[in-house]
Amino acid sequence: MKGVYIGSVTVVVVLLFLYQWPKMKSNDRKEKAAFATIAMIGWAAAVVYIIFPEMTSPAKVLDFILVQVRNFIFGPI
Amino acid sequence: MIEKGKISALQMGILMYHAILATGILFIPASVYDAAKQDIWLSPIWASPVGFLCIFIAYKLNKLYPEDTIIQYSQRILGTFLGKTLGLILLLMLVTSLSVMFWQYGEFVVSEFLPHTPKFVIIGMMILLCASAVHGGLEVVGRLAGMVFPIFFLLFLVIIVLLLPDIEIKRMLPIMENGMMPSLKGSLVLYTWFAQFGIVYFFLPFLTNREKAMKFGMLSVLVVMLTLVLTNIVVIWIFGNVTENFNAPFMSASRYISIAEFLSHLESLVMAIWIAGTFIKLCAFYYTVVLGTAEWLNLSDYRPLVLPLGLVIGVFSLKAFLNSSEAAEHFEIVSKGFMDTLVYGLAIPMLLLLAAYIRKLIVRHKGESEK
Amino acid sequence: MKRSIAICFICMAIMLLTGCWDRRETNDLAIITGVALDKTEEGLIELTVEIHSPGGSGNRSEMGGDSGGGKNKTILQTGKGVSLADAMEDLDEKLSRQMLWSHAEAIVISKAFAETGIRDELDFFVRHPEPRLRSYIFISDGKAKEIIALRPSLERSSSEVLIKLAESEVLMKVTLFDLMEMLKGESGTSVLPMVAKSPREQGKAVLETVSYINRSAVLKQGKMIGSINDQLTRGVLWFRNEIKESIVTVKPEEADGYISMDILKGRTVLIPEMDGHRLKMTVKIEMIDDVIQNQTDWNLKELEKLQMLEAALAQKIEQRLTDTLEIVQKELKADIVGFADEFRRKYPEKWKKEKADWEERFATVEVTFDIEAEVLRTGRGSAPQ
Repeated sequence: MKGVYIGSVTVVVVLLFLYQWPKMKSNDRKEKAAFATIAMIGWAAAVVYIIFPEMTSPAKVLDFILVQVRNFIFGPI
Repeated sequence: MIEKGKISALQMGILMYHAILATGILFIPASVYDAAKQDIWLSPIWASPVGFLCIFIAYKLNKLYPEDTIIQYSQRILGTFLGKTLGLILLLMLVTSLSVMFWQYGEFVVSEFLPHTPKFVIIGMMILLCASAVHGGLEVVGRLAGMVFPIFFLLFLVIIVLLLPDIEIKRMLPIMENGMMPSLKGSLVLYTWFAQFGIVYFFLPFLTNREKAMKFGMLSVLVVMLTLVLTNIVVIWIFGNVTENFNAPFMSASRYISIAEFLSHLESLVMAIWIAGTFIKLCAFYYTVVLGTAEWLNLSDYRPLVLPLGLVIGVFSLKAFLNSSEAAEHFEIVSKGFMDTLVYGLAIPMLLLLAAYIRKLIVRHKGESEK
Repeated sequence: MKRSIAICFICMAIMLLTGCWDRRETNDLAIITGVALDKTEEGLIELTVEIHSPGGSGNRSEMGGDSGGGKNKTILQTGKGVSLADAMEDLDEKLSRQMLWSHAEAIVISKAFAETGIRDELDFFVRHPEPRLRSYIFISDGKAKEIIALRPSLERSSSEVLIKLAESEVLMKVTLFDLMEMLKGESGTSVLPMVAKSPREQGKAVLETVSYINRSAVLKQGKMIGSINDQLTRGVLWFRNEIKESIVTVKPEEADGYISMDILKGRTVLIPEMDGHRLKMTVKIEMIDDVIQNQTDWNLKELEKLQMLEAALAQKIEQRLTDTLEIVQKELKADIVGFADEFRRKYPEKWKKEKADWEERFATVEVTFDIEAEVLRTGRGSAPQ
């Protein structure tokens, strides 16, 4: 089942590339790099979540950090 | 400048109205009620200064650096390295915040209307829709907001009018039973929403009539406040002490409408206006993320980033919270009034403005000593 | 290349846009029109639902009688469980169709059930997105299932009878929302209409009779503690400013018969007063009536007689309210007349102290009446001489 999920995420990413890549001018190397990097981050995050579904999310990490900062500044509530 | 399109100050005001209110109109009454009880209608009034302050700071910064967004002027104020770091923090927060918004949207649709539809479909479709709008640029998003606003507002008023037969003004009494504190505590929740006005710093450089930015920004905050007061007051008139039993009291109120037996079950109407408003909200934040990232990377165009960022946001939003108790934990933190929106909407711009003034002082000082 | 990608995207959109995950066709649904809640002897919850049967001709219900069944297009089904949701699961197994709760507008709870407490089970109706807040709630004298199993001859189903009864507002009308509000109210008491079966007429099938509202159940903290009769219920309605329809018959002094009046408009205002430790409540009532029957030989066109009649009417209402208060304050000690909320609204600070032992304090409230009755139309003539 996990294989199927990873496969479909990969298909989505491939489609993204197929759609966007021809639209970018060949001299926009920076754009291409940025596009590829972010797409790969998305793909990697999806794969990691599929393998470890219980993993924490940015929202929870940010909450944790903010609570720590708040406790540091104002003391624990 | 990457963005070629321009919007008017009025469009910006409307865009911000949706960006704040869309999710708020449903969830605010319930989350404020926990603290403020029957005084929930007072809380938006206490919280609105945060919104005014956010607009004011963003406007002042824009005065100093009229052609730049926050990502660019943070580098000019703090220097490249610190500015880039701050920009990265800002972008990460925006991505996180946006993923939570998408999660909220998906969760609400699934729990109230389409319990058997997989969430990734609901969120995925919304991301695709928003992506196509954001791809069109700020002008498209601004015009969409202008288009949605009259419908949104009209239907909102229709719902209010249809609820009138069921109101009982007694339910809001006694006003301030336990003094000011409950409603002030309730307003902590609202800071989250009002602080989101901070994201105007992404829109201010692209206005056609910048001199009116302040006016329309303030007007937007005012209208948001009035809409929230109206929503809360109607909810408390209808539901009184039962308000706490509902996740989305305004939704339940629309369900409660029954006029002459045939005019009932109007929740789909509320859902329609809510989805339209949320769409604008999500577009606005999505756009800031995309534009901010492109500027941070010094790209010449932001369009290639729309889809991959959508993928990232989609993945994070699906996994933002695994269950409702995790979400409750998150909103518990929100209700204490210390939130990411407050950091990126208010704290960071405030810091930047302060730094900019200090920098100016130093420059002037130098100039004088050189003479 | 570009076109093929576009086609690919369109195909994907078609796959995603079907929107049929949550489709529910009418012929896949069992539309629930009424709900009955009973407690079995083992303490399980017995959930009986009345389902609208869309089939055209003469559906026989599993319990229904055979005569006159042609009009009654409802069927009953029962499920049991430790909780309402559990009972629903059991019910689900027995039904071929998916249940649709959004039309369940009558909920009957048996007396035995109400005595053990209804608060926890109400939670289900509130949490579930489908049942409506406007559903009417009743307490049945006997088994709730028996009420809902009746085959009325006038209406299509027994739940419809109940809905009409509640809407006529002759006695209590309590919706799910009202009940929630009462349960959360300051006094924690609630009052619900009680339904009973009217006695069977000779020669009719067992189930061919109707239910009617005759009493009101009084609940404290969600548990039923007693009931009051129809006269007292009207008294309570006066206090709660919910009186809509009532015929009052008085016999003025010096008159040789009765005069009946129909209430067109009644308005009650409760004015609380806290004087040190003493609690006072002024009940101010204004009402407008029409004379509908005059047994006496009085000519009501005479102003003097009219004033006497008005005085008699006011006195009658005061008497009724005093009787009501006697039972409510002294016997039941349940603040179903809504004094607590009035005190809280007017004296939020002092109220906090009173709230703790309100049950005791309620009995000590001194009530004064200020009733203003006005007879608007007397009609022509009097009883034939």
